[in-house]
Amino acid sequence: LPSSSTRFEFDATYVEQLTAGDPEVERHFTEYFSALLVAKLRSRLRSPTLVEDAKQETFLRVLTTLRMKGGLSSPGGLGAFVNSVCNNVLFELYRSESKLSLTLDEEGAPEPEAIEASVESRLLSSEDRARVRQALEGLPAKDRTLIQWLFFEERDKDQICTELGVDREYLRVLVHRAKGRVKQALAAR
Amino acid sequence: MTEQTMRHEQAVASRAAERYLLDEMSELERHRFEAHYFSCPECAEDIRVGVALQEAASEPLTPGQSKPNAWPRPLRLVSLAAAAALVMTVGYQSLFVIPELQSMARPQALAPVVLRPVSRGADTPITLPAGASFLSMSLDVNLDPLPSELQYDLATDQGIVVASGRVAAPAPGTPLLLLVPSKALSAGRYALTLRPADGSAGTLAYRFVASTE
Repeated sequence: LPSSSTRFEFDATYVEQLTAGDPEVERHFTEYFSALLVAKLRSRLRSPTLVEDAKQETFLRVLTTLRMKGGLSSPGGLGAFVNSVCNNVLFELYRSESKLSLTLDEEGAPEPEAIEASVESRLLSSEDRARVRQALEGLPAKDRTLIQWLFFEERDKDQICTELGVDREYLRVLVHRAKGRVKQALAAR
Repeated sequence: MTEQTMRHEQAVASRAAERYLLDEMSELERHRFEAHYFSCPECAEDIRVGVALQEAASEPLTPGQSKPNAWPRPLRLVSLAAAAALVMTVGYQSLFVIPELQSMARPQALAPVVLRPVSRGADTPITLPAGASFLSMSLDVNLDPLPSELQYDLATDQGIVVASGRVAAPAPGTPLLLLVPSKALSAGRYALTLRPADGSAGTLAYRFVASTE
């Protein structure tokens, strides 16, 4: 199997092996979808713990269903199936929170968990992390500052644009360029 | 009917991956892009690389800086509106696109009408709520085996199709949430059918009679 960080298309053999519990395919499957699920869950859940729980629950349900049904009729639909299961997990989370009458409005929302993402929940190995950081450090000073403000300091984007005299489109182009560097850094392994 | 999934050309042309990572999308657009990137190897790679970028940049590039917040901003708070929007888009993903959703910014409570497949007996009565922009229905899907994709058709008793399309099946034991724009329905009898999209056997029929408040 290719690295789970590279482009990949699912075929019938892959789904069969995943359904049969092949450990290597299962590892590839969870690594491949981890980042996609984290990207989806981060914007909707309040804590790293909830994100991790929802991700694990999604994997569990997908694998259980595959084994119960004996696979998928359309192997190319594996990604859509994972997304659909994750939607259901999120829906149930919201429903259960609603039943517990948790305050979710922005005014009275409870404080988030004051924890950093645990080492276990990181998606990059320490070596890859170092490579990516090195690649980002090679950006021009202004762009490095922008990346810092966006993803480290999490400043308001409109304020960032005003302060550095750029527009939103510049931020998109910058993220596009930074992704290119990250891709190169990861491909150089 | 609006498309439920973004096309790849649209995703590339609109810099969807970048806007997604910068949290610049509405819930509806986010949902459409997710439906796309989970199935598109190219966009999936883009998102994985973007997540790696976010993770690597979540620590100071200049040593010695302290992080002002413990978790990326979007994680800190989930508004009720966002939660409601997600609930709605789950239903939307399941069946219908609701153009009005894009402008819906206030919290909405969902009290879906539960529909079960009928073999015989009376149609389920449904009252169309006055002033509501949509009607929510929760469908029991008891197909065995459960296909990965379902074909749906909603038609009046005169056979006029109000909506149809394909949708990913819900996880086993969970209902399919259906949001129907109120404008699409008027008082009368309707039949909704669900069947495996791959053409295999098994059709579920749900019948209801709608009346206005």
